[in-house]
Amino acid sequence: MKKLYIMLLAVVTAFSFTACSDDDKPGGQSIFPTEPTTKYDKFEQWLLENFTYPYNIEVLYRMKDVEIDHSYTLTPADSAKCAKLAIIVKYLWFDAYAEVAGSDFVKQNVPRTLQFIGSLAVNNNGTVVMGTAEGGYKITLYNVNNLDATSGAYAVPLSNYQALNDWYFTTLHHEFQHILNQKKPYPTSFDFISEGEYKSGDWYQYSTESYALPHGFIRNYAMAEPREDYAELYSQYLTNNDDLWAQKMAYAGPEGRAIIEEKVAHIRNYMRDNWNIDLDQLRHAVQRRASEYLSLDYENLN
Amino acid sequence: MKKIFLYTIMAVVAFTMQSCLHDNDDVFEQSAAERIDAAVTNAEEVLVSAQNGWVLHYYAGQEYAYGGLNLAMKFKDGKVTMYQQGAIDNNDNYITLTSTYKFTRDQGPVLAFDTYNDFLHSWGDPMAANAPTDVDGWEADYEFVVMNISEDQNTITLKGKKFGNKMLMERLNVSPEEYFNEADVVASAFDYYSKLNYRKDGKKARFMNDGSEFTIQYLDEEDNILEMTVPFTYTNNGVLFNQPIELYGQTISGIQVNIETAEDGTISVTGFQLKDDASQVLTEPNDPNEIFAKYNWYVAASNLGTVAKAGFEKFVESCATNEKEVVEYMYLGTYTYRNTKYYGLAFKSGRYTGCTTVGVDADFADGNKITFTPDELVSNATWYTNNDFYGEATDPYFNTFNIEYDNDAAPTKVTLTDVNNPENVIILTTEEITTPAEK
Repeated sequence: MKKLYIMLLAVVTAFSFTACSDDDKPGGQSIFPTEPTTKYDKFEQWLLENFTYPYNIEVLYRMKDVEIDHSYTLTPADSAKCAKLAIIVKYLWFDAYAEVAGSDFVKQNVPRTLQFIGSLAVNNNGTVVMGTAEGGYKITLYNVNNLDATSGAYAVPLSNYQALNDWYFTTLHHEFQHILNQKKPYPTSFDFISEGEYKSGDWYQYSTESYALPHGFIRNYAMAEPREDYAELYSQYLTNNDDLWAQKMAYAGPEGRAIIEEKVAHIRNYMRDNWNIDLDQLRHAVQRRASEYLSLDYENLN
Repeated sequence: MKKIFLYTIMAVVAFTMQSCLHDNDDVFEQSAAERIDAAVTNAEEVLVSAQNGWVLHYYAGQEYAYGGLNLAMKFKDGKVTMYQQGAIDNNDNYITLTSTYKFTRDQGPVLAFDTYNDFLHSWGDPMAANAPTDVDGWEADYEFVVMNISEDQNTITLKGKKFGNKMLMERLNVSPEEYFNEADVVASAFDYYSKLNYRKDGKKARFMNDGSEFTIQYLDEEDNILEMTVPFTYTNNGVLFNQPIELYGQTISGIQVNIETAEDGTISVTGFQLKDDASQVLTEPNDPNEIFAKYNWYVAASNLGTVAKAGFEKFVESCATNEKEVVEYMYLGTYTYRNTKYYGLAFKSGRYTGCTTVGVDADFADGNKITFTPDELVSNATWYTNNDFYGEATDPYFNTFNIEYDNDAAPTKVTLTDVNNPENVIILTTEEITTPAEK
């Protein structure tokens, strides 16, 4: 009886082996195109030579739906505006870091992708997103189509350095600081400087001039949480010229100013100890370039 | 022990059965990836093949809420050049804007306009001027799934990826400029004939055009009036609805207009018919109640029934005694005062004129029925209403009447019979009548 069962089992097992011997060959053609299909136009060639080759960065100026934030309604960027923005970003931002920290630092630490979006990203509470960074690999700039516009609430005239900062450069420095912080966290002692004063999501209900500055925050958004405070102060310190900085310190008053300077000192140490960057040297380079960028050629790609 | 064997065999059998589930025969000859690659390549080839480009009947808003407009597009070397109907420069030349496009593969081939082009993307900007939403602009798409390419490759059906509207792209046989100029003429024809009647096997409907959508009135089994609205765009030979509609079992995707241009350049409209069925013509409304508005209808005392006559005579008498005036005429029709045209019951007493304006509700279900309602007093109508009983002369008209003409094609006389009061009969004539009290 036992044998019978074993034989039965053997038969069943044997049959089960033959059952699947159909055509399980590996598929024929690759699903990816094997012929190179990309044709670069003049601007794309310029991006390759000025961003990708020297800094290992892709500038995503054509909208790619897998890269955008679908919780917003967005429009693509105008390619002519992208060219202008790329010229300025290279001069005021990438080249400034390369000048002070060396091109290897830039290659190793800047995000891999810089994305340009034409429209604003508008939140339901009426606030607008000025830029985002994702996991250190991508920084997105919005409102690119208003670059070089002369009128409108969100216009960013080329000659208006402050508007350029508000829309693009504070974002770039701010998000870049996040990336640096992710690679090497700043000492938590910073978080205690303004402990208990952070407003999280309600930050936009406070005025920068009458509330944030006197309380030791460079901008109302810095009151969201310590790491935003850190990144925002860093970017404002680098981009504000001496006059603007002095104006803000006047609003801050002696108490606010003392707190802000304590925070700047903290950042100065962090940048020196972790990244071997002299914060004031970097600020000087940024400011010098700010006084020169208008003489660049924006009509031709060189 | 026996049980264990049994279970083992059962288990083995069970596994055996499962193991072949993945061995289905392929339904398609090519893999999914190969097919989508082929679809993308094909779609791109078709787009580029149109020398004159394409016209896109473009719609914005969830469920086509914000209407449509025409864009023309020419595709070449990864660049698209766009035109928008009506967007011309100071020299009357069409403006063109160039940007990039690409095909991606997600929900089938997707045509993405991936850099900014003002003609297309301005609608999708969250901060678009006058946009109806707070954060979504005009709810306008710029990435489209290619749903279908017609056999003859002359039409492409697209579907907006974010807001889901289906739109039609048509291959142009003439230049975009020429197409838009023709479409402008078509638009003026539909503007002039803003109401069109549909008649088929005793069924009737009326198409009313407000410039961006048609409101279509039709009747159910019990002659109740139903309405549907359908947004449309103009083409070079008619209008194209955003989606085909169903009317009395007939599918209608648009209306064609026949336009003839004479040697001297005069343009005349010779008829309208359904795009889907040329034998089904649409005509200007010609219900008795529609004909009514084309004439001025004069009052004569002898033509009035007892109800209207009493009021009219009271008015005439008061004018004679109070104002020492003779009533020169009274009619129902168009009255002009200070360059404004009114429709109503007008009179002249001595050298003074006035008008009680009248709202006309022509009954769509019963074409022989018409209702008049009083609106406002214009010019001297106020004086004569307050002092000379003009209100009593006009009151009998403000009812619902059955209409009867002596001759439908060229009427000279109409008989209005109050549907609620057979005593109230009013006969009016197109012939001008002076001193109506004596006629």
